[in-house]
Amino acid sequence: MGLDRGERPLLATQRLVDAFQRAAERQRGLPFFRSALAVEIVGFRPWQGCQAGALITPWFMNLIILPGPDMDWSAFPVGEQQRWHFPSGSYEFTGGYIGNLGPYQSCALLSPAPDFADQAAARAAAWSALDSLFTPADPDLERRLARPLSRRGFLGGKWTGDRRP
Amino acid sequence: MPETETFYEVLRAQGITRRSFLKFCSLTAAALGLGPDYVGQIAYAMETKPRIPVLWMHGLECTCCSESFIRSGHPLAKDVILKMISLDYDDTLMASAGYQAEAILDEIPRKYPGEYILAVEGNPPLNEDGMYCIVGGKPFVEKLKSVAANAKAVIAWGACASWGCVQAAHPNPTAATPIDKVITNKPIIKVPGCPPIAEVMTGVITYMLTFGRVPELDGRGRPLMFYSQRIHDKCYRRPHFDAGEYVESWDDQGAREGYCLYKMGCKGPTTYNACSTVRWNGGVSFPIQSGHGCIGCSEEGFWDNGPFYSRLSDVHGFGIEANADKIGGVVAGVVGAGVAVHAGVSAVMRARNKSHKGDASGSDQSTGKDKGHQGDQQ
Repeated sequence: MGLDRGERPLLATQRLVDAFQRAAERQRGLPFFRSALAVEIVGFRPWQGCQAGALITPWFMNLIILPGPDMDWSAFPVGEQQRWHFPSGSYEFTGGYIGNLGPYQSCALLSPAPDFADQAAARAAAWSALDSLFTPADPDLERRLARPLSRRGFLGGKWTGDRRP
Repeated sequence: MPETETFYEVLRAQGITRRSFLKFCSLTAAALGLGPDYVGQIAYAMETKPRIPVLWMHGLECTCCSESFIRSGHPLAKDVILKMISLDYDDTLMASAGYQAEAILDEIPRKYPGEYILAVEGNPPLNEDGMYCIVGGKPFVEKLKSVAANAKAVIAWGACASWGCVQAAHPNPTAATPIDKVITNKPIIKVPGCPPIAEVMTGVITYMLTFGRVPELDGRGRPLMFYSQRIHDKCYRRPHFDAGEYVESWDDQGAREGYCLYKMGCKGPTTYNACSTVRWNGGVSFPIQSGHGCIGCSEEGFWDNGPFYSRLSDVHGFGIEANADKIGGVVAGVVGAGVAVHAGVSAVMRARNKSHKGDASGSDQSTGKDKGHQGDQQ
């Protein structure tokens, strides 16, 4: 599903999924583990010589950057931060290292995952996150989203107002 | 207080060079998440605007907020930040004493109605008509109310003033009460933490001086620029959480490797504060970096939120608030596809750097050695 926008599945993304499926075995049983969700990559695409996309797991949703084929990130320490620029702005990514995959960088979006109804809902959230990551920021929309929503506003359906599909 | 004196004049009188002054302005802009364009605006405000009179009152508290504040990391701030405001009354720091000191509490509200800021450290106990905290012969709660009546805005320093802290912990024998329950008709900026980070405290004051208004607050009254992300969101140990690598007992191999402290009771996942980005002592470290979990001191009722060393188990209180502010009532239930779209967009907005620094390169290779102090925080 994650690669349905024309990208060719690549070895590194498969390794990413494998590594986090193994991590899921360590996380199962902890209170924040959402057993309704599965490990899934969403929307990986080439980005500045690397690959960028989103990762859904039963315990978080993150943006992930994987090194390009000719890049060696082995000297980049776990926990070190690096700033990346996307069309919507700049984001700090943190160096990580996992299993067979090796080094990667991630930017936390949701942890633990909200109580998504199902995998499709989580996927919808991941796609909307990626869409807004790769689209220049819309100050109007942002201002509205940044305001806490009143109960009346919510019940009045204001939160759906010209939301992108 | 000489009425025409500006912050800049005070600095120059102290022998601070203009170069140092401008450097202070640019560091402050960065700490507030503002771009270089704002440096001029901050400098202008400090050169021209008269200093804001501030009355700093102490109720039931331990003075750790003051201790933190006067130890601001920036060298200029350390010596001079107190001059930026006209600190007319602070029973811990002022030179005057007795009747002379207490007279200031009457004089400033009369002389500058609607212009001064009331900063409150600690909170009033309400039982026995406030007799558990007497300042200058009167119950603190009475003084607090009368000084607040003419204030422009009120700053609630620390967990005591914001939420109640240890003196309000169960069973709260003195009925220690957060100040927003006593002062109900003024804007209150809550700067929680036990204590709050020095740079956060000076940042809030600088913002109010520069822009002449209260910084943007979240639904619970905290400045968004410092309290919009959890410790967990920006924690340098986060990759270990993601990978399921935990410290299982103190001083085990995981502890030596710097693994995630969740199982040792870390409250980072439910705590909104800037510790993992601004850090402490001039950006040197913060509790998790020194190997101890976060105790969640900036959260409401943290003394009653379970033992410090028990792992968080309340899943609803674990990250859900991140969205509570944004999605209103829906978070308690199951998140369907429509709300999920909203959650995705909001999460990306939260993760974005608010600072508008003009880095030239596509990605910034100068990695975060200096990040703590430079204020790239949200």
